[in-house]
Amino acid sequence: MDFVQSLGSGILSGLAYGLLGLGLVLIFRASEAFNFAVGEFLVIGGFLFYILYFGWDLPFLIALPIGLGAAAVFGAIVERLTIKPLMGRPALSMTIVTLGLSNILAGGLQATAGSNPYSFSLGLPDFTVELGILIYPSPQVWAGVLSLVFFSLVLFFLYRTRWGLVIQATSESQPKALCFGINAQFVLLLVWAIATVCIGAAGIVIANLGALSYQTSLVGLRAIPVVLIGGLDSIPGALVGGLIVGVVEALTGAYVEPLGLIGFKEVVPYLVLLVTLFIRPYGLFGTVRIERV
Amino acid sequence: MLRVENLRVVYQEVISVLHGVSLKVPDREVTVLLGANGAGKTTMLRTICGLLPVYEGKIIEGNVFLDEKLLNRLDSSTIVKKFRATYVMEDRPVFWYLTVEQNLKVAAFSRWNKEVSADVEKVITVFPVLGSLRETKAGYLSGGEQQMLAIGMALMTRPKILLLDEPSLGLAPLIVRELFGIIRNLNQEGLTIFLVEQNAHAALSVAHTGYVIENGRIVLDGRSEELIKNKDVREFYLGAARGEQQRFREAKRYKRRKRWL
Amino acid sequence: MKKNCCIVFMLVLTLLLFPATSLWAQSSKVIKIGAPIPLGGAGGAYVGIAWGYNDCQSYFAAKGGIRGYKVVYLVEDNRWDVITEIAVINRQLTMEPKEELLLFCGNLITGTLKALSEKINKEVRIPSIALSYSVEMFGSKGGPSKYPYYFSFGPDYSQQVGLLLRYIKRDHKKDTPPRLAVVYSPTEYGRDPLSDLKEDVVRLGIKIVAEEEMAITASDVTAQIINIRKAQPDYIIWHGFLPGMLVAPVFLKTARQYLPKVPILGTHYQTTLSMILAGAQAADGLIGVSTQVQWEETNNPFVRLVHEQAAKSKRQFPAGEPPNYMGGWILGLMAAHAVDVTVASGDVSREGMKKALEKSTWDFDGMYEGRKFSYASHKVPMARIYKASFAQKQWNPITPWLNADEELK
Repeated sequence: MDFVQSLGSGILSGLAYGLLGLGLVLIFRASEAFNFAVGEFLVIGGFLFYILYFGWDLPFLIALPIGLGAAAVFGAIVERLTIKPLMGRPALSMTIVTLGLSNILAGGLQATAGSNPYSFSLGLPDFTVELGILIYPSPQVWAGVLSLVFFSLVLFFLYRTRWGLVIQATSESQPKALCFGINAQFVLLLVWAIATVCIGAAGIVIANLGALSYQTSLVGLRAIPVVLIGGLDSIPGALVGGLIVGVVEALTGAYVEPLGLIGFKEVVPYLVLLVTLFIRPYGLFGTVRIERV
Repeated sequence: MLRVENLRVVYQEVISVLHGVSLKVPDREVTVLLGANGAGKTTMLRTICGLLPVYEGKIIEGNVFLDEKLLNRLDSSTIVKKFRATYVMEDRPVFWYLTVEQNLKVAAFSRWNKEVSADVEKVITVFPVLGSLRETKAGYLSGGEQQMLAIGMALMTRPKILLLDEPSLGLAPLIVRELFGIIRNLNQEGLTIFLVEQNAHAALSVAHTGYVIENGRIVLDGRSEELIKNKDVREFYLGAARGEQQRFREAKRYKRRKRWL
Repeated sequence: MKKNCCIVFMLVLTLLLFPATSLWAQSSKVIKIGAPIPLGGAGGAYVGIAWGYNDCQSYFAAKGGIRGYKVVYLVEDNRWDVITEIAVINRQLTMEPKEELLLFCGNLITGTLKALSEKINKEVRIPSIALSYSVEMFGSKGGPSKYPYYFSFGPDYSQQVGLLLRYIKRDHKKDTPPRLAVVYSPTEYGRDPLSDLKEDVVRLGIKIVAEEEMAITASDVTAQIINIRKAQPDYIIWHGFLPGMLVAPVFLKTARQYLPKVPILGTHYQTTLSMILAGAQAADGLIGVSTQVQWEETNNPFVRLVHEQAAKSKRQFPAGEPPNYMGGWILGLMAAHAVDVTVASGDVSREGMKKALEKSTWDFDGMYEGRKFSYASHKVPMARIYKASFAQKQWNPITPWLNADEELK
């Protein structure tokens, strides 16, 4: 019975990881860069929302879109300042820039917001699910539900609107898009904005499970096995990877850690990643590149 | 009218590709630029359409004028939108993961309005074979179909001048004939076409004017009727050479290398 | 060529002048106090402590020093990591002259005390006042005989836990023995009181039904809470965490969601204002034992003194920092008191400081409401149990000042 308990809570947290992974996949598909600053984006998204909801006391349904809008603007600014100047350069240089960016943002966060955790309780309606001895507390349920909702919204945008079509085309090939008059630079900006919204939304639901501080950025590192297992350029892969990591973590926490290996559940996703890469080097759903060496 | 004056283009600041090229593309005509691989044809087209920065190229001298307006420093989306010059890249530039219909819609992005769906239908009448392939992902199309789709996508931007880069590359001769027939029809409806080709036969059959470029320099120009009759063009581009050995004195400097079709 | 020569000349000149200036500075009388504190790292960043030290230093500088000696606090970041702290301590020991660096007074981590016990107590013999309440160093098995140069501020963790256990005994109303779950961090600090705890519960008739380790960098503790829930405890004791760690509010929230009615009791470092701020509703009703006063107890003369100094410094304190600031002042004043008695005794050296400290009795500027303590046992046995109120955003005392030595007999 506690297998079901752990499985359930793993799925709920896995959905949040999936949303996080989606942000990374969108950026990778468009800019071919791996955004190492994902942890800091998460925390900044959380803080932007924090200021509106807890600081200015706006109602949730107003604070959420504005907060995410602010996160989108933040993502756009980052793209303009750091990625755009590197257009045309190898993708590796953009990835390294995100490494440096993560340090700058982490320091900036600590300098402005201080180092103490900020209490973060969204006060959403209580949806605790209790079935006999199983219990799924409300914040976790909300984390899963909101993540699913955002994921679906992004999917709808990408596959059913014309802007989504353009993003798909530009992500596939920038030069081709440029030929047909598509303003590829603006499309990249848009992708970064949307990806930051995803990461920020994930940050909000994750912060609701505990508190918000610069240390919350460590959760962002969980996104690395998520996208590598699912495939860096695969959107369904992000969701699948997220669920796998979430469930594996929860089950390890319940069954392996009591055997004495504390903290092992941080390690297990990487072990799963290792095994996956042996079988499918590009991730479960990643596009296999056939390259002549 | 498209006019290029003394263009010198350099890649990565050291590789000089065009060395002072000048040419004119008159309105409502088909102009062809012939040359072998590496002569600088694609660079020419990229320069006109503002795509040089993507390939780390730069104009170090010379100008490109379209209707007497300078195109040098403009970026590609402006050139497509304002000047209606659309470039169809070599090797069939279609988006493989989108369907034919989605490809056509995406190409019209820069001038999105209510007429987009009507334009899609118009393109399908020009290229009937695309009609049955609407929902197929473009990656699965054959070479000829992809090339037609690419030109169709270019038509979606409602261009005034169309720049085609080696449309016959890798296509069967029958398809090439069909394709060039369509090109001729498009031109007769008023579209200016600047064609870059290695297949001199097909190209000269639809062109009004032609240029020959070699190692970044224009070496021949003239009306297509004259070029077809030109001895050197016949020998080196059309494969109709005389069988005897030539005297060394008669071998001209710029034709020292072997050519193929 | 000429430019190169110029540069080399300037470089050599600087190198020559540098030691010269430091030698010149040393000609005045100064006592230095090493102060490693966590300004970053996994334990959290407590910049308030550094401010407390700085203000304390200026306070004494304005008074002209202590009995003619200038007091300097060498505040450095130990990143709450044993290896970093050992490096800091070693560096200060080698860089500073023996006659000047007479004391370490700071947030020395339990793990460091263990690692350096040979060095500090036998080789270097420098008195070290730590904010650690480690059982091993200061408890019944340790103490001044084994670690003559280690000093502490309050009852050790076993004594703190002991006070909590007796509280549980008094509070428990059911017939069955109280069921206790213990949560700790897998660090030296976290495991410190465990063995004594297990003996104590046998004597008191309390049953331990769950023991869970929680990593200090964990951001999700659902698995541990679910395990605890299975055991159906009446009380939870948690120990081994610091207020700046993210796992603390995560734990409080998760525990409140899964176990809404179970009281959670903590040791000294879990009983801080930051806990209430970070945990919000989840921290309401939290119980904890603290060896120091709370920031809000303004009827306490010591607290009033620190409030005045905070106002004078005109700093902007981020939420939760004032208690850290007070912590810095406590350390600073303690060190200053040590300097005071040492200079008065006449023997200004490390040995002299140790002896002077042991002989001194002090009232901590009024912190313990008039009581004075001798430092002969190397610690002050006073503690108090508080309960958290989220509405008031403070800890309210639910017992008077308890003398741990007497309570736990």
